[in-house]
This record gives sequence, structure tokens and C-alpha cells, in this order.
Amino acid sequence: MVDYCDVYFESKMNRISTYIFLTVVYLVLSMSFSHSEKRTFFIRNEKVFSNYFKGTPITVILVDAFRTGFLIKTYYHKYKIIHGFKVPEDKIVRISKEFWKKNLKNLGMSLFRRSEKGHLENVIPMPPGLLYLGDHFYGRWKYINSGEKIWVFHRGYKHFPDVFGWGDFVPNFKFFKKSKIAIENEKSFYGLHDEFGTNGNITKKFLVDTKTPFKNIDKVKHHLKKFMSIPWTSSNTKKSSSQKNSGVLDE
Amino acid sequence: MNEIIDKLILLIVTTVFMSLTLILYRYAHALLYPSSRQQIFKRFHPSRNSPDTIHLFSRILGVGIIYSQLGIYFSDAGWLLAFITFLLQAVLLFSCYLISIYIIESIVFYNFEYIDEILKRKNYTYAIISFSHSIAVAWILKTIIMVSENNFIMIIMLWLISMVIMGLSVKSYSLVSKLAFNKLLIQKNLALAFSYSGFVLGWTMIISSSINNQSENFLWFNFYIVLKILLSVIIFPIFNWGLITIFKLQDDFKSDMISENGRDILGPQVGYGIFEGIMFLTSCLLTTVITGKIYFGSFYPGF
Repeated sequence: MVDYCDVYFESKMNRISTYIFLTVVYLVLSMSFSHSEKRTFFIRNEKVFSNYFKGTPITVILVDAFRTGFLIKTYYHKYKIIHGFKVPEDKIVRISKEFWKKNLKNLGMSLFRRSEKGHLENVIPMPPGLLYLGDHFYGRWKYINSGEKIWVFHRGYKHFPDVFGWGDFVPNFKFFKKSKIAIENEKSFYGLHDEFGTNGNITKKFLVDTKTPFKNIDKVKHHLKKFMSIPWTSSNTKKSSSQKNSGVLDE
Repeated sequence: MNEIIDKLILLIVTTVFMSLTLILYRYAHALLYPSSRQQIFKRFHPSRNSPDTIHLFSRILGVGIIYSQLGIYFSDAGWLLAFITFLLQAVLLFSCYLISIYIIESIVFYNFEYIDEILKRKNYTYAIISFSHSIAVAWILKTIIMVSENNFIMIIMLWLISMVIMGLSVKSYSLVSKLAFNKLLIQKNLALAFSYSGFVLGWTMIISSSINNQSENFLWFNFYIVLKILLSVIIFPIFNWGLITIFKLQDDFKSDMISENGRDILGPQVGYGIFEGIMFLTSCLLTTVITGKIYFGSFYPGF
């Protein structure tokens, strides 16, 4: 009886270990040849920015943060990379969960900057475009009637406010000063009235153009409509008849 | 009207031509199976030896399955070239089909001979197992034709890969079934026939589903096949276990049943063989849904 139990237990264990082995082999093979694992760059935290983003001057703006997957999520950031003299480019990278959590409030903010002079780098989340404020190569401070000093870009860089998604926002000297203090204190700065960041008005306005809101209820409606629709009506007929009836019986 | 009549004539001519190509099949069959020359060339009496009928008609059914996937394209280069292309394809596929059956049966029936089992012993178990081999090979070839889109090189490459997988899979029967193959085949036990048929047809579904993928790179294509097979091996036991649990199926396997008069050993009951066969087939079919019919799309976006 004892022998029979031992043999039964041993064969059961053998099966379980074979199953685990096969699962591991499958995972290893899939991982080594997975396209997404290879193609998409992984950023663990902000320290990697310096190696990943080359060139000067450069500003990296976080324009989207999303996660995919069922139980084990993969986290992504979409960055808008603004070079001083090139067309801005978009890049999507995989990130760590910690980094994703850390930047939940930083949508629309510049996460990395490298200046042209001295190649100074900074990874404290700041409103986009800060790199160019105060640099007289790109613009100048101008007094307005209220006595306030505002920043105006030179003619060649007139498009910068649009690129940064500022909208109607015009930075003043107070904004510039406060942001410098925040950088010195290594603290994030979301604008004088918190206009920037995930909850900021300017960011919300800027990002509304890039995202198409598609509610879950609309998705359900779309699926139901597709599922319940009669296939032999109007445009469907023309399409399907040309594709399917190519056999010997069609005229 | 002229066109319609002409079309009908062409269809009838094609039918006759297609039937004539089967003559080639007879000779190819006789070439590879000299032992069954009598079955192929002499008058065949279906009622005289039923296992032989199952054996012969399984091969013919296999040819039908393969032909059902072939297409004749008159618009490309006229009827003559279409017929020649069809003939070449048919010859290639007959060869693949018969060689495949030869390989599989050499692996499975290495201890058994057609003449002994079918002609002398009228062994139904042997005939049914042979029947499943023919259907399985034909079904895989049908999938290969579909995937390769009539490309000669692709047909050969895919056929070689699928034969390797098929050869390995039939060897794994003893790992998943409690039925002793050789012993029960000698005993003409039908439980084995049903169990093994379910197993082979189930594997056929998995192999067909694995082959049926799209990749422009041949290396990647092969890699996906292996990966899908591996995934199937992982998924299959889950479905098997799920079906047993949900339907409260009791494993009442008894290796040696004794006849009522107590003289003969009957072997396992047919019911057990049906249970095993259907379980294999159902689990494999459900597995193919997981491995081949789940579309992630942008659920996992690739950038």
C-alpha cells in the first residue's frame, strides 16, 4: 500500500515538474524573441534619461502615461522630445511601475532638460519650455503696460509656445524666478497657480487635442451594433460580393 | 448563354481531369505499399473484408480532403497551364500524403503488418487507427496548402516540419493514455482504436492550428510553430482537468476485464476508449481556440 502511494506520488510530482519545466521553457523562448521586449526601450527611472536622450538643447515632455495588460501590467510613457533646431519627435518607452507612479502628477511637464551651454542636465519635473526662458539667444524679457516683465521668443522661435503646449499662457519674470528657486531646492514646480501638471488647466487644454476620449459605453454600443447588424445591407453587400463570390458560379 | 454552356463544359472537363489524376494516385500507392497491390488493382468487394474497406476508403477520403483545398485558376494562364499546374500539385501532394502515412505507420505499427492484421486477422482496431492516420495527414496537408498559398518550396518545408512534429506526437501516446498500445492492438480491442483516434485527430488540430500563422520570415514562422506547440502542451492539461472536474468524470479504468463465462480476458471496455478519445479531441480543439483564435491586437501594443 505504502509502495503504491509512493509510486503514485512520484509520478504526480514528475508530471508537475515536467509541466513547470515546459512553462518555463515557453516563457524563456517567448521572452527572448518577443518583439516588444526588444524594440521598446526600458527606462527604470529618471537617471537613465541622460544616456537615452542625446543632443543639446533638449527638452523631454511627458505627453501620455498608460499601462497595458491584464494582471501584470506593462507601463508606458509617451514623450515629446523637443530639440532646439529640429522637428519635435514622439517616443514611447517602457517604464518601471515606480517611475509611472512617481510621475502620475507630471503629465505635460518636462521631465528632462539639457541646456546648450555647459550641457547642464536636470531631471526635476518642470513646466515645458523652462530651458529656453532667460536665454537671450531664443528671446527677451519685455515690459508690458502693467509693469510686469514677460518673456517673448524671437521671430525664429515664435512657434515654441505651441510646441510646448502653452496656449495663451505667457511666462512672466515671477514664474521664471519661482521655477529657478524650485530647481535649486530640487522640488517640482507646477506654475504660479498650478497651471501645469496632470491637473493643470494648461496641460488639460494641451492634451485634449492629442487624446480622443472614447468611453467604455461607446465601445459596448459599437460591439453590439456590429454583432447585431444584418450583413446583407447597403455597403456591406457590395464589399462582400466582390470579395467572396470569386468562384466558378459568379457571373 | 454561350458563356454559361462553355463554363459548364469546362467544369465537367475539369471534373473528369481531376478524376483521372486519381489513377496516378493508384500507382503511387502501389509503389509505396507493394503489400496492398491487391487492394488497389484488383476488384474490391467492400462487404467481404470490412477492416480492409475502412483501410482503403480512409486513403480515398484523405485524397478528397487534400483536393478540397486545391484551386484551379483559369484566369492566370489559360486552361492548359491551369491543368498542368494542378497535375504537378496533385503529384507532389500524393507523394507527400503517401510518404507521410508510410512514416507515421512505420512509427506506430512497427510490430504489425497490413497483410497480417487486415487481410488475415481482419483487425478493426488496426483499420480504425489507420483510418485516423490518413485523415490526420490529409488534414495537415490541407492546412499546409492553405498556408503556403500553392508555393512548392513552402509546401515541402512545412510538410517536413509537420511530419517531425507528428512523429513526435504519436510517440507521446503512451505518456498520456493508460491503454497499452501493442498489447491491445493484438487483442483487437476497440477501446484502443477510439482512444488513439481521438488522440491523433486532436494532435492534428493542434498542428494545423500551429502551422496556420502568418509571418514573412521563414525562421520566425518556424519559431512560432514551435512556440504554439509548446503553448498547446501547456494549455491542454488545463482543459483536460477542467472537463473532468466540471462533468465529474470518474476514471474507472480496468486494464483486464474478464468475460461473463470467465474464460477470456477482454481488456478495457470500449466506453473507456471513447472517454479517452473524446477527452483528447475536445481538449485539443479547445486548446486550438486559445493558441490560434485569441487576437490581442493593440491590447499589448508594440512600439
